[in-house]
Amino acid sequence: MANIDDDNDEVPALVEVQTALEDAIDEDIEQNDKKVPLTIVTGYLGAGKSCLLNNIMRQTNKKIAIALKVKGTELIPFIEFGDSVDIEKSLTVSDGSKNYTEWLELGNGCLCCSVKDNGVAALESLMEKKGKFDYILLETTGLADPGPIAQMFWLDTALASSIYLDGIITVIDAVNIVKNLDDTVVDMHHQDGTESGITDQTQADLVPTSTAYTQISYADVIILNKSDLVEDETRRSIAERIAGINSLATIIPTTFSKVDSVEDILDLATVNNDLTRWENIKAFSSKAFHDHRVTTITLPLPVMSQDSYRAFDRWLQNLLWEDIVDSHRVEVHRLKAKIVLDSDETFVIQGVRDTYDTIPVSETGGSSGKVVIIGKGLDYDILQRSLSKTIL
Amino acid sequence: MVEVQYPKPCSRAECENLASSLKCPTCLKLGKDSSFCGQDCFKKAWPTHKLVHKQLQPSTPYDPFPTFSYTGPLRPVYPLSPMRTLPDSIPHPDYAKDGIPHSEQRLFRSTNIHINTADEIAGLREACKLGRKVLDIAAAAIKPGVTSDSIDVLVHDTCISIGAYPSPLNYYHFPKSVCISVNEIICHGIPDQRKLEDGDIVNIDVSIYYKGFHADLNETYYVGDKALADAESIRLVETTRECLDKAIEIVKPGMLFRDIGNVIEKHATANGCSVIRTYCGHGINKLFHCAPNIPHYAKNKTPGVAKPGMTFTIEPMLALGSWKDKTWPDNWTSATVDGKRSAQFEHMLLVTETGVEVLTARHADSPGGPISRIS
Repeated sequence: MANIDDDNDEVPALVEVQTALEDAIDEDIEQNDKKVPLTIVTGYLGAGKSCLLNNIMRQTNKKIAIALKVKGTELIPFIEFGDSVDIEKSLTVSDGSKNYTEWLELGNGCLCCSVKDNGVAALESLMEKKGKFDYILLETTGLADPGPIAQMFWLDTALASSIYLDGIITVIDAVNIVKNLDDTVVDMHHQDGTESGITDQTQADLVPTSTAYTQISYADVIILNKSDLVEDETRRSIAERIAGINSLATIIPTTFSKVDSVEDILDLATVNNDLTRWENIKAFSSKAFHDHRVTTITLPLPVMSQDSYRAFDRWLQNLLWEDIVDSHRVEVHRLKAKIVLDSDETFVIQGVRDTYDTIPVSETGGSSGKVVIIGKGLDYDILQRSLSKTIL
Repeated sequence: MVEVQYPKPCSRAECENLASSLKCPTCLKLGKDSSFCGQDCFKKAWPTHKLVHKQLQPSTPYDPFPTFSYTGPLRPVYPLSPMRTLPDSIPHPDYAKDGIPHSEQRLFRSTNIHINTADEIAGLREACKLGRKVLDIAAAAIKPGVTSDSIDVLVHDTCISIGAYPSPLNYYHFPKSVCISVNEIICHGIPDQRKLEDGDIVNIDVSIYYKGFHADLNETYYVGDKALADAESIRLVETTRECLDKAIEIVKPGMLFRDIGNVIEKHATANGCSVIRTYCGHGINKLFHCAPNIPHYAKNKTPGVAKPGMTFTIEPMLALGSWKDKTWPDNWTSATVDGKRSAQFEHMLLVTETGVEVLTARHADSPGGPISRIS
């Protein structure tokens, strides 16, 4: 074997090694800090997403990180998390007046299931390294389905992430939206695993929809951009059609993606659990606004006993996990419910696709509950019948 | 085949000249051809170039990440042995070639949980039986002084002898045939040249791919008499073992996957252990990892309800200190953030009409098994 005496020549340069103790202290500091909200900004190419981001940065003195999500092949996605949701390796950081680029460290894939996506971990490590930002804006590609991205950032509280999902903004081009909505193709998001022989039938026998529908259905806020380029009458009919798809979202008409106040579109998470807002949700329960592709259904819920609530929970699991209501195929994108129990407890349920969370709330906002469901294949009569069978 | 000699560029990365015939003498001794344009360039390249020698020198153990802030006393001991191969006659999973599990990626984000047919169940049962055999053979080799790499060789060769592919090999480019995680390593330890020491606890995580089906199981073992006399390690290992048993007890049709974490965390907390949250149990069948996703911590919102014919793993990882993890720069090895010890147990389960079948169950003569706590 060769004799190597590399150690006897030049003195090597000193290297800096951070101690584990410093790491531990960093961790303690991090735990005390408040979490950073993240808003997903979605919409077709050219609708005005970047314009909106620039306006937000101009209109606020928050320290904002902007992450651009791309469909990349060179990044190895984590198990369980979509290949269309990789964060590009760099992201733009706006620190008051100046912008600069920050490089993200993206880890490997993972042998066992990791609960966190690569992109989430990368953003968390950025928060640790650069100190907290006040806000993260995540811009998706034009044709992205915001659902999986939202789920990815909707982490269990136990994971003590430094990031939380605040809301989803969809930017719409008023001139092209009608065309975009009607340009339906079969959603190729779920493909079959031919080699394994295991297939995903989730989306089978549902009416095909366009990405525009999907992006609208997930939104908390819809920016109806380029409003100046359409007639008042057209704008009204577009707004009505959008509300027929997603009755929960706030619609804000804009020109050059300019909103009057960023407070209307950011920091919505607290608002979302605010029960006073519930009274304002229009119940599009009649068939007048029923879009046969994606629609919002609102059903009243009576004050429930523990037993009825348990039955309702099972109904919810069937709806969200099995995609079935009384043998009718459905696909739920978002769900909100207010549950009032006869023991005077009140809960808010939030759902994104098959994930839902039940949050106890202290105030009582009205005497009874309701459930609002946005998704494909929803029919008021079928849902109503199935629900009343369940909780009675 | 005749190798055509082209003028090579100088071995110093920043240099744009072509190399002369001058070569590094040390590299030559180690069997590598490193040509430089001249002595000056070689001198400039020396500080970085000499590192190449260490990598070429199999007998000199070294820490590949000397500047990394390790959380505990354990260090990787490189060089890793070369990646092992298998005869073509053994069925390979799709990622064996390029490291990417294409069939799994096609189902990304799908939460549709596969229900196995009777034939598939028979295949999974057979794979799991062999998986248990491989783990038991590997575990029997554990003793102070044995390297994790030699256990990897044993797992690899046993797989070949039974006609199975070791599932971890090249899965997302994992370099070895088994995961071996010692002391503060939570999971995904890469077998290397470190010798097991009296007093260590070691987890061996075996996964095999047999006739188109994956099996996945792991256990944590005590190394030497010192470990068997270490009250803290015993509390950790036995609590983890019990957590898995208690979780399995609730599995039956109608069970919500989100409830598994509640059972595990309750027992862990009662015994002064924390539950690692970053890694989950998972569905497994013709795919190595698929839906459902099964967190081991309480109050998770993972979707899904157990139905007859579903197969998945439960694999709690517990720690004596913090639940937080830190990954080594090898991008795999996961260590506890405070360097305190961590243990793990894993079974692969089949939901039956009336309850559960532990597909990877122990035999009466399997190495390891529960021991009494020392108070």
